[in-house]
Amino acid sequence: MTAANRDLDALLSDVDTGDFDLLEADSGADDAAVAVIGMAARVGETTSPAEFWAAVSGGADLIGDFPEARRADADALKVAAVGEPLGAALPYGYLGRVDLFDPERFAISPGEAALMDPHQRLFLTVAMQAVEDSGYGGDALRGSRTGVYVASGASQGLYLTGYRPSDPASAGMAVSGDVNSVIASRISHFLDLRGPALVVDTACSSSLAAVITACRDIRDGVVDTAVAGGVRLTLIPPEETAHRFGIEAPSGRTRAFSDGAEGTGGGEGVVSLVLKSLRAALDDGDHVYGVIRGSAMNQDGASAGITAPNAGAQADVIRDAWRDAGVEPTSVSYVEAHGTATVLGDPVEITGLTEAFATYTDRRQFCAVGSVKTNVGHLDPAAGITGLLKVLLMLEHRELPPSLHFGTPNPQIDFAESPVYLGDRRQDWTGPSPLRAGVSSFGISGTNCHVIVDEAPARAGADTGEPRDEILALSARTPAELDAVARDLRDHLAGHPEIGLADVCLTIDTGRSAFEHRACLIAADRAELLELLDAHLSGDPRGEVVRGSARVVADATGLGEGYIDAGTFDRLSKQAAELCEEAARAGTAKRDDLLSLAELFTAGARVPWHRLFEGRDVRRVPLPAYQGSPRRIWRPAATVAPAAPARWLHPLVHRHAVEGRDLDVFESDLSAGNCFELGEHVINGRHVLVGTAIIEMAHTVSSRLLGRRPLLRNLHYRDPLVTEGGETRRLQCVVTRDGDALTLEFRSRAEGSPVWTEHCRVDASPLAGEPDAGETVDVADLLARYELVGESVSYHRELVQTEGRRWRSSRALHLGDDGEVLLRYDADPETAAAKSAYALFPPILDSGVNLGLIREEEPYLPLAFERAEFHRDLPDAGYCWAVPADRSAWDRGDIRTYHVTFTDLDGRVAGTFTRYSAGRVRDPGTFLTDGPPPRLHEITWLPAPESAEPTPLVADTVVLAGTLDEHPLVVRLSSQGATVQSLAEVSRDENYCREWADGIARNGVRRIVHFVCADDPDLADGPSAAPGDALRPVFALVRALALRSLPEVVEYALVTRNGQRVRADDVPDPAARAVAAAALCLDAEYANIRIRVVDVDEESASDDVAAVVLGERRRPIVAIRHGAVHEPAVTRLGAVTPGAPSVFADLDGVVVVTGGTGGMGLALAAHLTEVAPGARVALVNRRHDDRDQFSDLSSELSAALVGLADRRGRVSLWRADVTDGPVLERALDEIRRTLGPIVGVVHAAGIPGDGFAINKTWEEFERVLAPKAIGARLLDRATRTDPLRFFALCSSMTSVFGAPGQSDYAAANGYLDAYAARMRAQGRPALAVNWTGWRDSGMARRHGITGTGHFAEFVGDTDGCELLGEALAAPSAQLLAGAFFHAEVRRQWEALDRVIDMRSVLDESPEAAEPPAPAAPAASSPLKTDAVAFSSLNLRGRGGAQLNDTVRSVAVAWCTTLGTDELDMHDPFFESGGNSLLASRLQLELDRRFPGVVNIADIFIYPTVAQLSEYVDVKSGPPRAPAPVSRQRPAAAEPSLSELLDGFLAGTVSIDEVVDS
Amino acid sequence: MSMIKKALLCSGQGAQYVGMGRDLCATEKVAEETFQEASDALGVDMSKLCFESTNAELARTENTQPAILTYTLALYRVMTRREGLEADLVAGHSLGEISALTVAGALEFPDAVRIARRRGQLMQQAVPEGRGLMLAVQTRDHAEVARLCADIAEELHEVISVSNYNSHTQVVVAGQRSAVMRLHETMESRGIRSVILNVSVPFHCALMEPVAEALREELGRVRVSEPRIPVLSNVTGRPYESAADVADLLTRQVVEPVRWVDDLKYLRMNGFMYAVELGPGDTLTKFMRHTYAEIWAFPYDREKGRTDLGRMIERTTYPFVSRALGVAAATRNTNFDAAEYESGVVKPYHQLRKLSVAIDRESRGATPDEARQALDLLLTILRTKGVHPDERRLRVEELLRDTRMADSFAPLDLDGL
Repeated sequence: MTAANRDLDALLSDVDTGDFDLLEADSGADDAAVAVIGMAARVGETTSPAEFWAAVSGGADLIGDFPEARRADADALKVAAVGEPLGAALPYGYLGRVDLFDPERFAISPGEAALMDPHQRLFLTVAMQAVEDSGYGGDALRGSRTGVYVASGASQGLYLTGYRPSDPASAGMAVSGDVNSVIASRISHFLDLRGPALVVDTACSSSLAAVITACRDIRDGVVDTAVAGGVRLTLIPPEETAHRFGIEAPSGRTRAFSDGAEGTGGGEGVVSLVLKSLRAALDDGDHVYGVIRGSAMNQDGASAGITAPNAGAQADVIRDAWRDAGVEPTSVSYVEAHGTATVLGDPVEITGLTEAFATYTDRRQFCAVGSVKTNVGHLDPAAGITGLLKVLLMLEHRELPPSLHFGTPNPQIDFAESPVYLGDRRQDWTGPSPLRAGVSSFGISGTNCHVIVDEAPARAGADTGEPRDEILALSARTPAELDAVARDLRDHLAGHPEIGLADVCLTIDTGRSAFEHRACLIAADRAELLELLDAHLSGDPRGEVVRGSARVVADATGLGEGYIDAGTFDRLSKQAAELCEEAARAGTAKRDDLLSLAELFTAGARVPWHRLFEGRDVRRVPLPAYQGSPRRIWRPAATVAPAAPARWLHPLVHRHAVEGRDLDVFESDLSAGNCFELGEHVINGRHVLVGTAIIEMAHTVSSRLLGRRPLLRNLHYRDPLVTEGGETRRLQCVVTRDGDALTLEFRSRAEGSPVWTEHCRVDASPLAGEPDAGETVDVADLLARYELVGESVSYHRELVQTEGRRWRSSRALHLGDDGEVLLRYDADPETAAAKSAYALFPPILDSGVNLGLIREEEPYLPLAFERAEFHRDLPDAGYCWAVPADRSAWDRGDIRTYHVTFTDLDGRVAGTFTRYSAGRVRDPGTFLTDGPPPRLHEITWLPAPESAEPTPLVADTVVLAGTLDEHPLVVRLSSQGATVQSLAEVSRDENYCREWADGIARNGVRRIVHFVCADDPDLADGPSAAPGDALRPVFALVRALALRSLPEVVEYALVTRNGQRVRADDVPDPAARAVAAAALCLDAEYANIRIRVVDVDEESASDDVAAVVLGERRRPIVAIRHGAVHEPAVTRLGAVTPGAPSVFADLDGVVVVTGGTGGMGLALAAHLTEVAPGARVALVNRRHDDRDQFSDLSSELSAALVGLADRRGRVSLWRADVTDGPVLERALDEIRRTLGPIVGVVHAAGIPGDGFAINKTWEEFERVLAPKAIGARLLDRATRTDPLRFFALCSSMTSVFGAPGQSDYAAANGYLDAYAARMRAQGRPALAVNWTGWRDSGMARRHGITGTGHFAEFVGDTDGCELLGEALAAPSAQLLAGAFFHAEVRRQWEALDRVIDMRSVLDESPEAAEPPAPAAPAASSPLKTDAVAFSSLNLRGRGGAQLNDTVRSVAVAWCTTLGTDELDMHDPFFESGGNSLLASRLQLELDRRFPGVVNIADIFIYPTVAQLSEYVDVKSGPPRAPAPVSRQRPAAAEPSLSELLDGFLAGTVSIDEVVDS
Repeated sequence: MSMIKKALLCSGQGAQYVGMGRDLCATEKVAEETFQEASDALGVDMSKLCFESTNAELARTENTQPAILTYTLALYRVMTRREGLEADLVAGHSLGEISALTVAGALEFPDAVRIARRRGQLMQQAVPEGRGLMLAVQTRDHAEVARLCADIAEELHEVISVSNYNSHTQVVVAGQRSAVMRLHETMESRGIRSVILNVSVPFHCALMEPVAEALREELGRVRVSEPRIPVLSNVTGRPYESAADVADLLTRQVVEPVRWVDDLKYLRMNGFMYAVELGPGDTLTKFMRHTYAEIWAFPYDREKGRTDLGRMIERTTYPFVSRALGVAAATRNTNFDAAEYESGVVKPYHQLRKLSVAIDRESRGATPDEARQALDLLLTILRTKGVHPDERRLRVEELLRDTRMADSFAPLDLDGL
């Protein structure tokens, strides 16, 4: 009889007569009914269904505080996700822990497990427990049609927020660890389940929808068994302050149907049920918890709003469920309600129930209603299945538990008129059999679900057969776990006397995995079994207890006990199968046979236990699931846990790291989490260490060193200490001592970063005078004179935010005349307690030192103070008194200076600050924000790390000497066998070059050393030589080589002299610099020519130069000074002092802009005339060239000049070719005559480069070079007598980073870079600015280059001009303009950092910690470190064999890959948590150790450490001694194997074929 | 059971102080009588011992135990009289379990005082001075401490084991001096705080075995009644099932660890909202805060505890009429005669609701007349619904207790309901 076919309505037509003899299904199995045969759960703080039931039936309120044990993890996640620490969490039904997992139990590597969202780990664990609870663990479901249906509140990537995988394998695992749908398939994958694995999402009704879907698939015969479940975790708990959906209960309690309802509380839970058709369950002897007789799902459709409930639809879904189940509505005596305790939801739900029942009966208040949400809150996606779990447990215990928090009904609900009464007390559940309940779950999505559940059919009488000997087979992965398994079973059986011996044995023997450590117990009855379990646990030897362990390995020779090989395994298993076969045939097993089976099983055999139970009336019973060894598994740490505070010297000064005679270093590791002075002090969303914390640290450190209180003098703040997210910075206070005079410098760096940021310096000396000097302030007098204006200081809250009560000690603010201010403060007891660890409690000090700024409308930040002297610690309560100093200066300038005095409540002075000053923050909105990261960078030269020895010179080197053939180096190279050629000769013309290149190719020359002849004796007085003279031969020879097909890569070393400004007093040669810049581009253009530049000075010894020229290539440009190799680095320009005058602001005179009609010139004209009323702008450009472009430009110019309106008269257009000296000079004379003195020059003329060197002629090259280079020289010469304020040379980033196809342009700009430095050396205010490009105008725009994908900022017109003004104020000769895009820098890291050290740039960004790729070129072989690493590993299965280095290295590579520190020599990779992604990682690890030995396929063929090591030894070992080839494969198989292998790698052979062979 | 479940917690040894009970006896006659009863039972001047002796004298285990028990009972009697609070369960820590059984009426007070004194004497004699030690360890990882104890015990062949699972953050270990010192060092080396307790006897470990038999004998001599309210056992973490368990569990308690955390878990899992600590100090209040901060605890020895308890009782007292309405809504109906239901349930229910709304609107309590009327309406509803007389009685008792209106209906004949 199928319920679905019934016409219920017809049957119910006589409902009014009370005639109910309809549609009760017979109590036996009907085909539509689904049995629940297994369950496991963790709901709230309960960890099993039994605990959950104890809580529910006891009326437990499982809502509580967020567990301390989870706080640090949640805090770190929140910091990673939103950059803020965790606040006060809402009370919720929290799980106790979410970080425990046993990865090996599921053949997952610890490394991968750490990347799995806890939703996945917990569901996998709980689902497996449910499967074992059903008695179908082990291999019982392998390959079966079992579906998995899960509802999950995915964390949406939250768990791995901010996680940056370090390699492709991790990245892949991070993806599968995070994908929501994988939650369902993890268990399918592990148990090899072949039914569908779905994640169902209908919002709050998801898990009941999942159950219903599972039931339907079972009914439809799609699957035989189903695992249904729901998971809901809150990795970051909701916070009290967070504005949520609007239905969140502030107390966290869900007061369903009650007058006190205030919304829905929340909770966490993981629930899993195993389902099966009732008929099959009864046939199979399964334990049945309850029966899902029918169900329905529908939709609200067009309700009032998509999230508003609809009573009609709810009534429908309930009626549909009754109809589907074929049950009589009055037989339902309990409804587990959705019960969200919302204003709208509860009355609607009762209305829906009333409507549904009213169709069939007018009975009232006969059915109990309750909601598990009152116990544990709303579990969102897992809510419905949690309600179902509760009902199943109620049916099992035949008990109605109390629904909580109900005192008085919700006034909107008329219970007396409804069919339900609120079950608020624990009561026995009585009624006609079967007891029947409904479970409702309604989604905020509008999808409603209702399920009808019956109690399980009564079981027929137990096995009445003769008691007989039974065998219990236990196993576990370790001996300790085996004891735990036995103990759990013993305790469970002791508490469940109804469970019979045979049922226990069936359930355990056939329903649990067979692990390595085993025990068999043979007992005749329950009592004996319990006895034997005790005997096993106490280690008593008993004949009925057989113990053993066996691990199957490919070759067990020499491994001793506990290992068997596959052949033995097969043999033992065959014997076991025969014994079982016999027993099955005989219908019983003799005790001796059982003993033999026990011996076989504990020796490692696979035993078909099910045969022992064939044809017997035995059932599966719920027994404890295998617990394994869960341990903490969590995402790779992003932050370092703070050290135990108790061990710190002081909350801010953690360690005295170095104690020297006259040098001391104190260290602290500060993060927002461990330092409230940082965590609670926020500027523009970033944590900034409050300035007074440094004062406290200085006070603490110097008190400690001086042995008495210090006088602090001349403190200067530099950059503030800023952190983002959970970043930890190491702060150092470096103290240098001269007698009693200390100098303290504070600096910090991000973890792992080499770059220190300077924060502050201050002098300290012992404070003279008596501690109680008795100095007082007449506070009473001040109070009388001053005006009380408010309770507290609110100093620039919009810029600086402080959180927490520690910062709220201000009590009364009094204003006096002349800017004097008095503040009364009073720390509350909690703050006072915190304060006791400090001398000068930073929050109170902070409100005091800022007091002088209280009247300012704009924000200021501390700059400096002259003296600070404290005779006493800050009192808990007292006054701060600020008196302005230098008041007259306040009207001008941006600095405020005042004195501050701190007193106690009686006016006794505790301490004073003399001349404390603060500077105005010029751009508060963007101060410290990401908005503009540093936009100006310098190039500095840093000593390079020592490098390897020079390679011995061989004969295949050609030295090209120009005028330098007497150079000692040339002489030396020549004497060692190098061929010396005359540069002038070989580069004479194109034909000569071609012939020379032919010779290079033909003679197999490997290295060319080219001495660049750039010395220009005239440069001192002014350049006369053409700037291209030095470049031309380089261009010609490289071009000729590039056009040849060289047989080998040629190293082309250019030795330049004085090309780089390495030290401050270097005066660089522009021509040499131009060569270097071009070389960068040429190097990038041709794969077979590796070009490098070694810059030397006159003092460089030839040995040093030879070492670098012939040694390993490092960065393409290096310089040697004083014998030390230097490499260039991009570094941030030191902070510009506040209030520095803009160069443009007070210009009075003419600014000449060359290339003036370019967009940049126009923009400058507009900007200068706007900011400087006295400025006139002369735009200079060529007329004759680029005619088309010019006409285009002139219209643009007209348009721009129109825009300039009244300023138009101050902008004029001049025509002159900057490469034509006389013309230029005439034009400038005319400009001076008509417009006045020239005060500034901006040399922006230039044309872009184009194309690879092989595609262009020298003439084309020179055409790009000339306007910039010659133009610069001529402009320099023509303006030497002008009163110049600045001389800006517009250069490009190309000269710094190079770019293929830009050799000419880079050369031109490189020339400018050095030229500016040269001018500086002569006292001229020159600056070369390396732009990326101008977004709005400029060359980049004209040529269609945009900023997309570029690593540095393209500036706009306005900010470009401002940036130029800012750059000109800096005392540098060359600046890189425009901020770097850190993400892009990171992406292009290799290409950029290869050229120039960029670490400092990355250090600017929050995720600065380390450069992206572990750029470890030629790192020393890991083999050396492996021996050390190996000692920390736990390697099993080594037998008595000696371990060689290969095994150690392979083991370390293995463990590194799998993220474990335990391994067995004989465990196959793919059963130890390895997968194909990890295999490739293992291959990489092995390749680092044994280059070229192991390829990816080898890992499939030799999957264990033992086999891989042997393979490595064989393949890389000493020349073919009669070395034993791998024992598994006869030597003869080798060739065919390697052939197969080659085929696999070539793609012609499948991996299966390889493995099968 | 009430809607709002509350427990009493009876203190164990440790927080006694000279002067405990002095003020109480000065103002409350029932307290003075309690001390007198104890003096009579022991033939010792209990008031003098508690108010005038020295801390050292009071700290002698044979003195401490009866003294604390006496003060606990005095506090209980005063509290019951002052607050009118009826607890739903009582638990006691170590010695406090004897107090708890006394509070629940399982033991007579004079017997209890004698047992406590005997227990104290036996414990004092069981281990020579200086041989045993107790160590409190501040950790959440209780299992690890238990493991370390087992390791040390095996290595040194000495007695050491966990004696108290006091709170989620504290376990206490008892055993022989050198073994306990070893654990102390281990904890230090791991940076885990541990404090050697100032007690002369290592309680709740195997060294107490000589105490067990003598104590069992002593217990066999006293009359034990069924407890009026559930009492939790330190050994099982569950309520005593019957009076017959008392001797066994109290005996086992001296050699087995005090599973106070399990007692607290029982409260948590059974929906207890708050607890009152009886006895000197506020140790159990702290244990509660560190284990289940969600359950309020009020130390009745402390002024603040008493004031806060008063507020809590105030806050958790239901208004009579609206609670009566709640009871009406929460009882099952078995009467399917529509007409009877209409007049006997729906009508009075609506009247009750109207009354409740009217009183609520004026933000006041019910007058005696209104209360009487509400009770009549409720009884009509329950009777019409066919609610079993036992349940009816329970419901009304509970209603009176939750609304603290029992006094208003003093002559009510509950049996006649």
